[in-house]
Amino acid sequence: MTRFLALLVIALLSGCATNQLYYWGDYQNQMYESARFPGSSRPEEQLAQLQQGVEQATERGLSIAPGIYAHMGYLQALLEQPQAAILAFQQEKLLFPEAKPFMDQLIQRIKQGPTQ
Amino acid sequence: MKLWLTMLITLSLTGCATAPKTDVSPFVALKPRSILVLPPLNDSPEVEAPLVYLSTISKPFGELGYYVLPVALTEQFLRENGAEEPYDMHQISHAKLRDIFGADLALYVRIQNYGQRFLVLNSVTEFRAEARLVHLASGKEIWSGTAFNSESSNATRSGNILEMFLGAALTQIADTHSGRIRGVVSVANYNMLSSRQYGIPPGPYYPVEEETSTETAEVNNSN
Repeated sequence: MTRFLALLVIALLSGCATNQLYYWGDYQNQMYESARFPGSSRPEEQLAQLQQGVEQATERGLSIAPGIYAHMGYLQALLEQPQAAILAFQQEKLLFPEAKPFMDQLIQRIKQGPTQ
Repeated sequence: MKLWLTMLITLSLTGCATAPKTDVSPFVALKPRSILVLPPLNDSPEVEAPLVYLSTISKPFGELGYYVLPVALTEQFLRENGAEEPYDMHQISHAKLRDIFGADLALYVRIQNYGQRFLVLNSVTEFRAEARLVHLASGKEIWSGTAFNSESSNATRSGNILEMFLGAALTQIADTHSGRIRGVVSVANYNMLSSRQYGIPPGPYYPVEEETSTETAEVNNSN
C-alpha cells in the first residue's frame, strides 16, 4: 500500500499533472537510475527510451523540457554518433538560446575529434 | 490608551518578525534566465543523496520558467576538466563557470540530512538541504533557501499490531527501491522553489497571463 502510494506520488509529480510547461518523460528518472546503478541499462537503451518519449510528446504538441535534447546528444556522443550528437545539441540551442555557450563548446569538442 | 497603543505596536512588530520574504529585486534587476546546478555537497552518510538530488532538481526550476543546464552533462564536463568531486566544483570561480557554461545563476547546495529513521512501528523519511543561488557575472548571492520534507510511514491505521510491523517492514522494502525518498526530495525541492514567500519568482518561460500580485498584507489592526 505504501509502495503504491509512493508510486502514485511519483506519478503525480512526474508526468500526469496538468498545467505543466514541459514534457519531462524519463529524463530525470533515467539520470538517477544510470548514476545509481551503473551498467543497469546501456546508453543505447537510454537513448532509445528518451527518443521515443520525445517523439510521442512532440506529436502531442508538448514542449520538450530543458536539457533533454542535450542529454540525448550526450548519450549519442558516448555512442560515437558525432553527427547525431551535434544535431541534438543544436536542437537544444534552438529551443533554448540560453544553452548556446555550453552547446557550442560541446559541438566544437566533437568537431575536434575524439578526446577520450 | 497609551499602554494599549504600545501593546498594539509591540504586537504588530513581533508579528512581522518571521523569516524575511524573498527579496525579488535582484531577480527583477538582473533578469536571470538560466541556472547551472552544481553537484551538491553531502553531509549525509548516504552516497546516493547527491544523485537523488540532481535527478529531482531540473523539473522544479524548469516548470518555474528557467532554463536548467543539463545536469548530468555539466557534471561530466567538470569531471573531465579536473574537478573530481563536488567540493572541487564548488571552488571554481564564478567567472570561470560563467565562461564555460554561460549560465546566469549557479545553484550551490549542501545536503544536511537524507534518509530514514526507524522508530518502533514506523519509519520517517527525511530530507534537508540548504541552497544558494549566485549570480555568476557579479558573484552576488541573490537567494538562499532550505529544502525540507519528511514523511512518516504511518502504519498505525489499523489497530492490528502485526499489521503495524508489516507496514513498517513494507515501507522499508519500498524505500530500498528509492521511490519513496525520491518523492520526498522532489516535494522538498518543489516546495522550496515555488513557495510564495521564500521561493524564487517565475522565470522568463513562465506564462505571463498568470500575473497575480496579490500581496496578502497582514492588516489585523481591527481591535
